[in-house]
Amino acid sequence: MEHDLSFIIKAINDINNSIWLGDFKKAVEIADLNLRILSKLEISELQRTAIELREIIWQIRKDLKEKEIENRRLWVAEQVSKEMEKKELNAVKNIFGVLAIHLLNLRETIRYFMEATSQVTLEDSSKKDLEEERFLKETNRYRYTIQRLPDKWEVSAILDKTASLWDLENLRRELSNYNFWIEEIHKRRPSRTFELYAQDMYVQVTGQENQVEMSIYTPATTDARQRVNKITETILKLLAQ
Amino acid sequence: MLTNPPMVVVYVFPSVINLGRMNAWQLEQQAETIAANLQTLSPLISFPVNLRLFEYYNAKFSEKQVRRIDQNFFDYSRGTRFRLNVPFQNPPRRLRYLIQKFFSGDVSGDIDEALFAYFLIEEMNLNSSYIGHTRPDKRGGYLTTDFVIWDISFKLASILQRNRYALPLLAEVKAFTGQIDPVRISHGLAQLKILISNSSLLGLLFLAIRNEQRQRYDSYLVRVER
Repeated sequence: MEHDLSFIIKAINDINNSIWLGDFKKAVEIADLNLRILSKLEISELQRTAIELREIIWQIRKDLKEKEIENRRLWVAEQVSKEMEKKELNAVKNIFGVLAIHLLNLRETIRYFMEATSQVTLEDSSKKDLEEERFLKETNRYRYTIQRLPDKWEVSAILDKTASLWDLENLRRELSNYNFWIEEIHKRRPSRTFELYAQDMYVQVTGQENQVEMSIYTPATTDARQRVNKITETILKLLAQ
Repeated sequence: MLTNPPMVVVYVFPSVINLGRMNAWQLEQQAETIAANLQTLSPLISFPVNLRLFEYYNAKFSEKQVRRIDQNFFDYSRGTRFRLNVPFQNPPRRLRYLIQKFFSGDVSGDIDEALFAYFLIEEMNLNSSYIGHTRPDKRGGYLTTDFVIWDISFKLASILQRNRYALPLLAEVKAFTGQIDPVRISHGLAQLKILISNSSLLGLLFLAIRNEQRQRYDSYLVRVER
């Protein structure tokens, strides 16, 4: 294998992050871009290796049904190793092939999902409710979704700043104006966790690299949504500064 | 906030296991040797687990859809088993009531996968973008391991005792809530063997074992090569 194909796993993770955020458009963009790059490489050979190996495993498992073997898994492993050696199948190519197939499948799944969710009928009121409960907001510094759960609000966000660079002192200063008290729980190079307390709100914030998760607990008053939106915007804006 | 977050101790099996020409019987023997020697190792690292982050890694890296693995991890580490409702009447002859719940293998597997990601990212400083859980493909019949890891900055060099190594690293994870089962260790070794026996790749077998006496999780890293 001549090319460094580590970008495939990064692409898959980036797609998963966008799906986690509910941003399917972005997920498709990342998938398309990386599939275009892959198509210029030896993608078909990689896929062929992965598929051929899968067929070999199926055949060996089928043969196993007619045999009385004590440790079936070890026997299959031994036979697969032998076949790989005999047919000179490359394990590294197989791994990349599996990942390339995974990327293709992800792309297809998202596309299918997007098509399915775009076909809204007037009777489909449940979808409207779902949209009201979960929405994506995008600025030039961050993207986030807020989802309402029975007992809390959950925010998933991607910032353009990693957690290690957050200025929590600034956040502490600014939020003290709103009577919030902040306690940092965990600080390591890739990740940070802190909690915010106020009289009518409790927020847990976890940051890992440029991803943020927040759980917001607040009484279900009529203005709860506005208060959740406001604190979310404020926190994300300050963290991204 | 919890005053005493659950602790995890990580041990490394001292010798790198050469799987190259091992047959099924030898793999079984090797698994028995690993299982028998786990209690004699010296710890490499121990760390408290931030439960909030643990839940985050559960969401990102574990196969099964299990929420609140942070809560489960806390209970499993401490050995807290919930009691069932038991009637006052004696049970029918030769039968016994179930008094306490059992720990679940699926939850335990989920804990192991989240713990492995937590160890790599939080303790070994690996970049989370380059760690992939390939389990869905394994279910689809493709040949792969639980995790593929592009340790692009060679952060595991000290553990692997090499300055440079072929990437990706391949990893299998196995969890045990009770007795250590050598057969499951041999299954992990076998999966790694298939993929590394014709290549220069290195493999890691990550075992997470609930330590009932010490009320914590112990993890063991077994390094394998061709």
